[in-house]
Amino acid sequence: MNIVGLLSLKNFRRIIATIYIVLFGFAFIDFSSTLSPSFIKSLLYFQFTPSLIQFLKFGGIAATGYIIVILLTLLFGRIYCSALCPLGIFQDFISRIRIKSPRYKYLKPWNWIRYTFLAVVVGFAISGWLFLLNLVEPYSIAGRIFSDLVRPVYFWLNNVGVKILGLFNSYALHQVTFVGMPLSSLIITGAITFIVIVLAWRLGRIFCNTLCPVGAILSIASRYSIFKLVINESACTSCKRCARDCKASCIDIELKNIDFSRCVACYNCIGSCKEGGIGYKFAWQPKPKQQEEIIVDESRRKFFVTAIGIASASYLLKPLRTLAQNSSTENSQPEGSSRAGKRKNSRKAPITPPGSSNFPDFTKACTACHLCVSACPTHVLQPSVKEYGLWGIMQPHMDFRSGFCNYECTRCGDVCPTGAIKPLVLETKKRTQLGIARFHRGNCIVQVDGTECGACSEHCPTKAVHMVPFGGLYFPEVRNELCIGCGACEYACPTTPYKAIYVNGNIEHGIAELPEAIDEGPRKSTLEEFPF
Amino acid sequence: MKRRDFILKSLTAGVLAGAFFKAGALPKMGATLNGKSNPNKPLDLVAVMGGEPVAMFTKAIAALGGMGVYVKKGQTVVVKPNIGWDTTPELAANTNPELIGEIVKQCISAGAKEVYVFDNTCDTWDRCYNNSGIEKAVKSAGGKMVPGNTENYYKTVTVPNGKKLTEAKVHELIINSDVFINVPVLKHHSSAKLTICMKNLMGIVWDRRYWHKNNLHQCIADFASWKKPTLNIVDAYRVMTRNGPRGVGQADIVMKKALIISADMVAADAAAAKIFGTEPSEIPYIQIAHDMGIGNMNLDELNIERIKA
Repeated sequence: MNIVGLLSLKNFRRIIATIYIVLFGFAFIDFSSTLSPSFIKSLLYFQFTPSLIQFLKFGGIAATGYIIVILLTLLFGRIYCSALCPLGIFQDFISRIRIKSPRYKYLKPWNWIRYTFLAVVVGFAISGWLFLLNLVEPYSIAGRIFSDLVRPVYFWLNNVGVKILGLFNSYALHQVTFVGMPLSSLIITGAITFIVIVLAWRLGRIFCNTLCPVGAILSIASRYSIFKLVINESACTSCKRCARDCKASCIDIELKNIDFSRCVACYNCIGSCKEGGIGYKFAWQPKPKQQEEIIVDESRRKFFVTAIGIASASYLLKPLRTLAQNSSTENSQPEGSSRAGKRKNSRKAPITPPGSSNFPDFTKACTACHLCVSACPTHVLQPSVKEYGLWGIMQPHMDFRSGFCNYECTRCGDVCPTGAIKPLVLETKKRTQLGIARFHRGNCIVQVDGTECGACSEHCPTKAVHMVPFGGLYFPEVRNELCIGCGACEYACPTTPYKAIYVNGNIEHGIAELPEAIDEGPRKSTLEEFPF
Repeated sequence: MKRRDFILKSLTAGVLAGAFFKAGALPKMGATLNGKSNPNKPLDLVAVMGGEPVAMFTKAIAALGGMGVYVKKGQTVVVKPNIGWDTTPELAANTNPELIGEIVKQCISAGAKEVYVFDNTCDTWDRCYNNSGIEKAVKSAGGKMVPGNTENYYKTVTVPNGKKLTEAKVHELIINSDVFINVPVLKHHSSAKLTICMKNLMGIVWDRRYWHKNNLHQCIADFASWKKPTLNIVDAYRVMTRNGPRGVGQADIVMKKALIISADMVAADAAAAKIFGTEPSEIPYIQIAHDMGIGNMNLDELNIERIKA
């Protein structure tokens, strides 16, 4: 290949896409907080959906990535789809690992299905139910592929490495455990991934031009692109090489036409044309003639479906008032003689991460990409099952069976690209009350077995849970005003299957009081002689 | 003399006299008459007061004949500080990092092949290792930080003399290393009242919840019967006297500026309890361990070297 070939648009796209997917993937599987939150945020700046959600919900200069993507599309077409979209790059990777390289052929656009589906998705999203969006939105799907499916494999490989190094008495790497991921999340992510792989394997970028809402929005923009890829009719010999290499199946060689709205800007066709007959051309027109009808139709349809969306959504979704607390499963250890922890608790509301402000706003802004789930150093953030109701499935909640919120940590808010979890200053986070701990005496070891325990108070960072003497023993007591709902007490409580202390979520996060006199500095000792 | 002054003076005299008689009624110093150690007998315990952590340790270990008495050339050493919490050294929820650094350094000077340091932490382990300052101190002293964050590192051992705790999963380093140095920090503790040497061993086992569920104090004493650390070094420089074991702020700390070394965990715990201001017998696990014959909490029966730094 000559130097011009090496520097071709296609190779340029490939280099950017490769670098991007490696960094992106690593951000979602890393367990050592290697990448700084600001780096991760700039990496995800261009991600369309989170950027748009953040812009609509919270505004701000940091949430303008989607505008840049639209501008880029208005210039050169859907560059995002091949160079920056993690799911697009993933699909390209899937079609590349085929032994026999795939042969595509022109397919007619399914615009009716496509834009109706977009309208349904957008309708639900606007009315506050992101469930459908989260199932088809490419950034989140890719996030979940890495976080839910690749991450355990990466952990396993790491642990194999630890074993090998262990043979040489080296502790350079450390064991990691993949904890807390609910089966429901694995199944949904697994199923979506399977569908994406099958489609990409057989039909290239059919997902991007049928189901993907970002693809659909950018399609609309790319109809108006100033520069478009076109076939030079005088050079074309109708050899169909370009159509065969077009994973978007958008080159109609009969009409010598590229449907640029479906073109994902992979530039494969440019290289495959032996005549050099495909390239960018200034093509700005005030109104594209062919698609006019569709666009007029679409806005009406969109309105109609949005209305249905809102109506059905509000009917289908009733907030879950009571959530049965799941019994603890992580305790495989022998029970010993304890008889505590046999009474059921009822958790009144789920616990959303610090920085999410309140339960409704959080579930309306979270795309369930699971970046925070990967980033959380204590594994307390886990995809929900039914905590937020069926339609909030996979959006992360605080699961105190797998961990508790580290008092000194703000990482989830620091990395969240949608603003569903807003970044908090550490001092604010330390006082943000996610919920309030509730002591269930009938489950407590001190009450039931009559022996000291105090594991809850031990772990409490604000000493909201403190021990008070009663009948020769010490019992925990909660000072609600100091409790931040971090779940350290619930996690540490040794009773099974039910805990003797658990956190009730605050629908709206509160502000805890500061523990008294914490910054007076150390006191001087009065001890001058050895007391023995 | 005015009546008021007279009353005041009489009262003062009375209080002083009372204090004198009280002092006279103190238990005899036994093996360590008048607070002096007996040079003809081996030392049971060394206590230092009034210095900085490194200086106090240097003096104490010198009084015991130097680190070379405990660490031989080519041996592997495991040092177990308390690194339970993701807090800074000023809050003293973890063992003093300078002290740990100095211990590692002296082990290496004594010829240790490897010096490993770990804890099964309560907060996220790597954050604890980092923010406690211990990771940095150990690495710059030439030691190695070892993870203890997953169950794979722990092997099951039996505790033959245990009453409630008959088996436990213990970190492989404790089982495999030649020398085991236990370096707790003296703290108030909401569950165990005080955490010192014996309580610090909860950080070498995996399944701690079992202890909490099955009579915590008995389990702590039971496990102390499993293995005697080569040496116990108690950091009582900054002492958290309330809100333990995690602490809320610096106001929880009293600058006791003390350090204790002993091979006997029960004795070291008893001496540290006294420094804290508590009678050893008031801490159930110390009394239980003493009664089980794991060590001696009667300090007046021990040969103690007291050093004012």
